[in-house]
Amino acid sequence: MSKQPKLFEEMKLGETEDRFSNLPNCLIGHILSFLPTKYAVRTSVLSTKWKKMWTLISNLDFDDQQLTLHPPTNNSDQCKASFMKFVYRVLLLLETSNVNKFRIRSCANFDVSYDVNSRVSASLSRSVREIDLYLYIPLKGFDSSKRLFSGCPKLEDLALRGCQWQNMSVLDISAPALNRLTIIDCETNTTSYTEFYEYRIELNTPSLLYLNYVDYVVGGYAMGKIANVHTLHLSNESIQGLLHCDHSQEFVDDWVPPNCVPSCLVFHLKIVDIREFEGHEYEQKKVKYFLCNAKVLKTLCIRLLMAKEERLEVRRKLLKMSRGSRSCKVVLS
Amino acid sequence: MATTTTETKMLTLCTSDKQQFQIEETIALQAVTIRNMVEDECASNVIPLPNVNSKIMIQIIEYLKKHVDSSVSKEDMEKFDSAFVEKKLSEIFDIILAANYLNIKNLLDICCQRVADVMKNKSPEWVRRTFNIVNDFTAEEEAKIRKEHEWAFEGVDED
Repeated sequence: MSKQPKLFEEMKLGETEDRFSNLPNCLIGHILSFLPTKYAVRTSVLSTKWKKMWTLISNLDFDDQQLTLHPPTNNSDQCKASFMKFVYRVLLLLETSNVNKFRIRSCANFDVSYDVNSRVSASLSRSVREIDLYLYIPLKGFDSSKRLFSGCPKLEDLALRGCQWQNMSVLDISAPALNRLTIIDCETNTTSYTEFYEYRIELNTPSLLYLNYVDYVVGGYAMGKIANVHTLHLSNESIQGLLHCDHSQEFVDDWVPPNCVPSCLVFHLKIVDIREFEGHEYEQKKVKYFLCNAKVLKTLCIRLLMAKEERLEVRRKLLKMSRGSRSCKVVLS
Repeated sequence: MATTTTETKMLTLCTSDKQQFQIEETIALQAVTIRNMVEDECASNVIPLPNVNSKIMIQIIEYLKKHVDSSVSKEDMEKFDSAFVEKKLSEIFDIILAANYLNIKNLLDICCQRVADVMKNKSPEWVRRTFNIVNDFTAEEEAKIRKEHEWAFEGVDED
């Protein structure tokens, strides 16, 4: 065995045999699945054996933030186009029908959504367990969201960040296995105020345990209604995780409790985290409703956003509210 | 080798180089392949593992012993895992093959992650050198592939 170490990594390998290429293809595909897709595809140039090896990956992870590490400020549109072309090609060429994770982060905001969306649907649908969309790409219409998520029977974890729905009046998330859902800063790209006001979110997610919702409340989608939606659509009423709710909306200035108390609130809800609490009357009403009706609530965290003098008064009020759960802790910060 | 009659049930694993390892059954059963063999009742309790040599088996047992211990915190387990994969790449490849054969998912994953981490954002030339991969493309063929997936070749780290 010849030992003439040149590079540190060669010393580590300590031999001249090509162990990597000699692995079974499925194992190479597995290793490449741990890389951001960009680097996985980069291996296509290593040797003829590697040309299509990356098409066996089971995790897709696209992130055009990497572009900003080497900022080509002048031709950023060109970079975005190049990124989108890359995503599209990868989806087109992918061999595996077993995509587990799909993650895309992009600030490209030109409309290629239709292509990407249909490709995404086609390649993901049956197997995907985790979807993380952090996009500023407009996604078209009601149909696309429905198709994207309802065709995913194994989907367990869905995160939507900065997704701009185009002319979509309902975000319909139907996924039987979904247990974690994150919706942050998603908006509908409608032109009129009325349409915006009518935009609603419908969840048909019977396995949901964790909901992280940090967004404007639209279309009368007030706190009570979120809980209401759960009772209406979540058949086993098993929400017991976190319910983050940012209800700093301007146009809902009153809140009417739902006709009957959602059973998930009564029996399952354990942790509630309310961000950006400004102390309005309707906000206090909601908190009161929560505290009073959540019988198994363990922690209610409220982040107060107000001036000092007001704070004291609001704190006093909040801490005085009667609690439906004896073991409930109220944390104000 | 005689079987022990203590309350902890022992299994004997026989590696490709005919070394025998006696370990607690609960430790060995974390390997799905071994579990299946035991469940399917191989008459003797000597489990032949013709695809694993003793050198690798020792390391795998070290891993399994740690992972069977439910008192170890998640954080400590992660520390153990990251220290465990600090090995020569050739050994990592051996463990990948063994973990795949024995069907120990987490072990397979941490080793695959280790290989992936080594190559992350490196140039194809660097990866070829590090893993002794021989480039059998012509210059034209290589240029063509680079052009096809242009974006994948942007922003490479310095070697």
